[in-house]
Parts: sequence; C-alpha cells; structure tokens
Amino acid sequence: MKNIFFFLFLITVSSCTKHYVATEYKFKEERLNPNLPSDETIVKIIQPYKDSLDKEMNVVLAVSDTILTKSIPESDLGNLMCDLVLKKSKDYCNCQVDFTFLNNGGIRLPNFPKGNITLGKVVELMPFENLIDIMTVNGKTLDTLFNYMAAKGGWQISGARYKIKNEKAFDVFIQGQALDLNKNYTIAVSDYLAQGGDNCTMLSYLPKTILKKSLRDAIIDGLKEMNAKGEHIKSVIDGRVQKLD
Amino acid sequence: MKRKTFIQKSFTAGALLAASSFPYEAFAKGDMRKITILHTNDQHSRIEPFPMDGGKFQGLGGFAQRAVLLNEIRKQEKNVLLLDVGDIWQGTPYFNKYGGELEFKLMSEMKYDASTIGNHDFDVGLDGFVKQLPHASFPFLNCNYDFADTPMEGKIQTHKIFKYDDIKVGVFGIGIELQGLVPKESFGGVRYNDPIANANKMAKHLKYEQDCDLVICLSHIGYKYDEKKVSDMDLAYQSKNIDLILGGHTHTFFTKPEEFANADGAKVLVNQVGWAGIYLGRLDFYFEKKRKGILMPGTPQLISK
Repeated sequence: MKNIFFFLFLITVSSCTKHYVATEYKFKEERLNPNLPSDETIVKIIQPYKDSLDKEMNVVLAVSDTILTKSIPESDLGNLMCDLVLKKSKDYCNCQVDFTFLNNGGIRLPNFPKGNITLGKVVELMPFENLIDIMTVNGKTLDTLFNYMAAKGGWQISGARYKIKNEKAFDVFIQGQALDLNKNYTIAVSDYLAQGGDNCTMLSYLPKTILKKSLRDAIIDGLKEMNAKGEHIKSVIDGRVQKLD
Repeated sequence: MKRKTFIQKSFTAGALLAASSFPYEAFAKGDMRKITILHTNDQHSRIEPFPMDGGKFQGLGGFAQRAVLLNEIRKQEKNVLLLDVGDIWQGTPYFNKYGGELEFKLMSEMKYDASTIGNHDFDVGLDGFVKQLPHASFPFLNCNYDFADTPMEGKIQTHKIFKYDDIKVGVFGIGIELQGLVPKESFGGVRYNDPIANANKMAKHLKYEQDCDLVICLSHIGYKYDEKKVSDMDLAYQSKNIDLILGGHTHTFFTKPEEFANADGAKVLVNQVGWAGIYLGRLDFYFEKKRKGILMPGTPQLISK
C-alpha cells in the first residue's frame, strides 16, 4: 500500500515537469540556383557599392585561352600563380630567387575563367594583402618544408620539382639540381607562411627581407607584362609535383 | 501487482511513440511545435552570385537571391532562426574595398539572428572588426576565445537564448585555434581556450540552468581533418547536451546532416553547407510535449520529405 502511494506521488510530480522534446526533424538544402529572382531591397543596398567597385575592378589585365583549375598536388592554376610570383620576385629584389611555393589554402578560387581576366578576378584569386618575403634557407630546412608540403597532399611550387609517396617528399630538385642539404637557397614566400602560417613553423624564426610588394602585386604585374607583349595566359600541368600513391 | 502493470503499459506506449512515423495528428491538434533553423557558413564576401564564366559554381549563391528564399520561408513558417557560422569576410573585392561593412549591413537586412566568428573575420584586425560592428544588428557568439584587454572585450556574447512560444533555443559559438592560422598582429591578444570543454560547459548551462529545449553550437573549428586537429567530429563524440552542431571552416558540402552518438549516447547532429552562400541549410525541428524521463530526450529522428 505504501508503495502505491509513493508511486502515485511520483506520477503527479512528473506530469508537472512535462516539457518539449525534439522528436523529429526534416532536412532540406536550398540551392541558390541561377534562376532565382533578386530581392529588390538587397539589390538597392548593394548597388552603390557595386557601381564604385566595378569601375575599379572590371579592368582587363590579360586573356586566358583555357579555364584553369585549382587542385592538388599540382594544378595549372597553382603553377601560373607560382611562376608569376617567382618571376616578379626576381624583378622586385633584383636578385636570383631559386624557388617559391604556395599553400593550397592560399588559392581562393576553384577556377580562373577563359577569356578576359579582370583585376577583380585576381583579387578573388588572391584576396590577401600578404607581402613577399625573400629568405635564405639551408637545404635541411627545405627538406623539412618539402616533407611538410607532401604531408599536406602537395602544395604548388615554381623553380623546383618533387615527388610524394607515403606523405613524404623525394626526388626533390631545385633549379634542376638535386636538393643539397648543405647548400643555401634563396626563396620567395608569402609573409603569412614565412611567419609560420598554415603551420610552416620551420620558417618562422629565420631572417627575412620583406619586399614592399604583395603576392597579388606580383600576379597583377606579371599578367600585365604578358598582355603588353601580346601573350595569352597558357598554363599547363607539367609534372613538377607527382604523387605516387 | 498493480504497479508492475502500469509500468509495463507506459513502456509499451513509449515504445509505440518512438517507433511511429511522423505524428501528423499531434501536429494538427496543436500539441507539437516546429522551429525552422536556417544556416549559412563561410560566405566569404560572396555578395553576388558566381559569374557565368564557366567556373565550377557559376550562377550560384548571392545575397539578393538568398533574401528571396528567406522571405518565402518566413511567409510559410512562424518560428524561424537564421544563423551563420563565421568567415563572413574575405574572398571578393567587396571586402578588400569596404572592409566588411556591406556584408554586415546585408545580413542585418536579412534579419540574421546570430553568427559566430571565423578565422577570416580577424583579417582586418580587432579594430577593423569593432569598426564594422555598428553595421550588424545581430550578436556574435563565442565562448572559447578570451577577449579580455582587447578592443573586442565586452562586444562578443558567449550565447543567446531565443524563445518561440513555449520553446527555448539556446545558441552559442566556438572558434578555431588562431595561432598558426591567423597572423599574430591580426588576432592580437585574443586567447584561445579548449573548444570542447567550453562547449560542454555552455551546453550544460543552457540545457539545465536555462532549461533550453534545443541547444545549438555554431562551430568554426572544421568538420574533420586527416591530421590531429580538434574537429566537429571530435566535438560530436565528446559532447553532452548539444543537439545540433552547425559547422564551418572546412567548406564541407554535406548532402544531409550527420548523426553521432555523443558522450551520453544521445544523438547529436552535425551539418555544414559548403561555402560562398551556394546553399542555405534548413532543419525543421518538431517538438512534442513529453513527461521527463519516459522517453530519452534529445534524439530527433530524421524523416524524409
């Protein structure tokens, strides 16, 4: 009898503590497709910003014959960026630069379109304000760096080539010569990476010369030069990074 | 003897409830509540749709297009919660030229309810972020960054509770390790603390002290990594009292929310909608009034269509 009373008491208490419990959910992804109309209020807010921006950004820098695509371990888009940064770094510092590289996260567009390449498109590709650092590093540090790039699945480079297996780098060649652990090399690198960004800690405590030019300046200047010579953008995957597994 | 029978009956009733498909009847009778959670992440200043230039995402995205969808959904649904998971900034010249002002203005116009902070939201430094705050009518939530003695001190909330009729939804945010990812001069004196420990502490507070019916974590730590780095998957497995983790940072396109068993064996959902506002994520939660302790709380079932 006592037990029954106790239980009735419990029921009374628990019915007072009824609360809402999520029992079901439905899921839907709304894809923002090209056929959706535009909200007029939002368009009106954007318009003055857009007008002023378009004037600056719609300037055509160069013409590309093909769509370039970002991918790892090597891509035509990454090769173009690194080739331009290596070439212009030499011009800016008026010195020999052996090698440059770029983290995959530093390429901010999946594609570079065919046809006219505008300033706006380059800003989207490389939106960061990162300056170029020139560094003298020894072969041992570069060996660590190449292994780090390999472990990351392959980063984009210029002035060198390397192969990847089991997340390790091998057959590393700089300027056509096998990497010499006892030799010093001059490299051009984004100040973000030079300060240990994307966990490039092997570079963070080494001396560096900061150029007053950004990676984006190098790409813009490089494209303008090509255009002035009447050259179109032609970038290919040439096997400079090979992943063997 | 009587007591035993009663228990058996209530267990049967509970089992039947749990096994039944969507209780449309209960919903029609008004015993149920529905909350529509809408979310974006890693918008990266993609104000306009990707241009029609042959690129992978051509024609997709756009703030004005998203606003049309939002207006449609708000016409149909009474209880809508619109959330963002950070990296609002960086990616188009709109950010380089206007420093994030337009993104905040448009999100305010779209009536975002809250956002958390991504690593790229530090890209114009702490002063740059504070400068744009007056353009945001919604709060920024984070509970694992310590902003003491920085320009952002007192300007970021740890959590916010949203009330819809008799449902309470608790929302809080966590952020990624900034060291090694964001330049030191950009994040200044902001200190990073363990996201999982802080998330669990916050979720416990929301569920038990604030009596929230749904607890949502806005997480910019990333879905998962090959390397050893704390992720939403780790959070999901080690969490307690979180019902839904809305993710970001890794730009992962989910085809549906992933379900995990948390540290208590209860269900926790994780979802992320890629980047650039290509998708608007939508989760409709249905709530039933139940007596505590009869059914396991916090285990919503996915129903298709």
